[in-house]
Amino acid sequence: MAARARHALRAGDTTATGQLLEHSVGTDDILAAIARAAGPAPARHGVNRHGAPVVRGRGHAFYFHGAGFTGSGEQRLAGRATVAAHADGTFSVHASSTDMGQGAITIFTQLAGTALGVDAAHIRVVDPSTDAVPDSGPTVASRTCMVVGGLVDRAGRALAERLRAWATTAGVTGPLPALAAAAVAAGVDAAETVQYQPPPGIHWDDATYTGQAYPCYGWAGCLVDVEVDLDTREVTIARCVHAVDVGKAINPVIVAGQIEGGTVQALGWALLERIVYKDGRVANPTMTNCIVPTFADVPDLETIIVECPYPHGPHGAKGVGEIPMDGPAAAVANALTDALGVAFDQVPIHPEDIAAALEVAS
Amino acid sequence: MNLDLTVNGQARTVEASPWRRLLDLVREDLHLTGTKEGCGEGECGACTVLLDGVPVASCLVVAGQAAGRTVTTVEGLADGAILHAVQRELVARGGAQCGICTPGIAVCAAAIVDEGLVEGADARARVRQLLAGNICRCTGYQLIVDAVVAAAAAVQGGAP
Repeated sequence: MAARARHALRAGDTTATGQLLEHSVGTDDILAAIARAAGPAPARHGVNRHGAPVVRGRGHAFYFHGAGFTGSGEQRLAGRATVAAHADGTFSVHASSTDMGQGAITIFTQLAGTALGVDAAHIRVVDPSTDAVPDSGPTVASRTCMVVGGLVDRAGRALAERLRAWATTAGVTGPLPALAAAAVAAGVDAAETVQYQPPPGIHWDDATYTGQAYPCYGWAGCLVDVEVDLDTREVTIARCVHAVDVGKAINPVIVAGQIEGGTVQALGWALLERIVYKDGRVANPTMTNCIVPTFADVPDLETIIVECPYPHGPHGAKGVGEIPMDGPAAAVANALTDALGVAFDQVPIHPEDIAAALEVAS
Repeated sequence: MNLDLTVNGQARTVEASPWRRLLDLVREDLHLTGTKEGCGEGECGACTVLLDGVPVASCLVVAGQAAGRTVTTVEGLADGAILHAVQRELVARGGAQCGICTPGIAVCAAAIVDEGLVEGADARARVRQLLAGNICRCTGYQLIVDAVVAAAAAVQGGAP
């Protein structure tokens, strides 16, 4: 990790596309979090529960991942979101982000509730049917919380402001749901739609591919300890520490779920998941022959949420969806190199690959 | 032919081929759509139901095998409005994302918790072994293990 600490990007540095990183660069916090959690490296040699000799190793990886669309993508998408008040004193959130389990509905409820200053019982996130929601852009690119959530936050605050301004003029008092009900009854337009505005200083040149490649980045580090059975070449992941800078965890349980889910997919990518193509088709398209990790294939995960706030994300939030996939496989490969003294330049690394690499090395 | 079986505590008679998959009988004939089809080949555990209290992949069980026996699906885990401890903890701890694997995991976890198989210092390792037939692609398993261990502790402490 010393080499990474020496060479990693920090605030004030410039990326390969010429982007000056002004803020929200979690490098030092990530490296410190991993160092604090690391503990002593495992004993090099030992015996596993089957009585077989094992060799152990430790590997690290450090990485960053853009949040939101690349380059001028967000400006082109110009996503919109709406928050509307209703006669019964409730509010609805309209955005085209699909909740496929990653928690968009919960996050939008939290953001709208906080923006409006009302509790979650007053908020309804409508199903993203195209006749009921504006185009907020697709549910991809680690952008749902940071970009679309930012629109929901802005729309909610603007609506609250508008309702309060109307109430002052109309001489109505009470909590916001009561103002909302009165405003709707009085025929006031009680819906606020906002559109994405690029943060100041965002420039991207599609011709030269230079400038702000992303509005901001998530940063992450991973530590993996492995144990290799020297009889079978089977690899056991003994530990996996994953620290991810998400700016601000709007909902820490959801963020942990995103990090842990991505981590296990990446560990599967490292050791199990080989998609075989034959004559242009996937030759192993079933769960029988493309193996993914089970409960028993991964250790208890050590997840660390790091928060280096992004000034233009809602409450400082940036992306989390993709970055957990980026590093664990590299950390596993590095841990295997530490254990075995041979390098691996592709994943997945199956026992057969380890046997072949050791044979070449000897 | 008529198949008699007990489903979620109720005696049911279903007109179906004995070769019909139990999964299809549950979902299509009995309209208990909480049970999901994942891989359809017994690898993923999404379609897990309990047959006489034992977790089985309902895509690999034919309806005739269930005749005269008891079937428990995810709809049968709760006691009226009172969720099973496993369901309660899955909700409380965020142990679900897309939800396709969740019914099978809830059913299997309820069975191992109710059987008293999740206890002792190695409870987490036992959960990982006993749920290894239920694949989840979203959660990374961590929050599910947390939930099942907490549910076992609650059940051992006398909670429903």
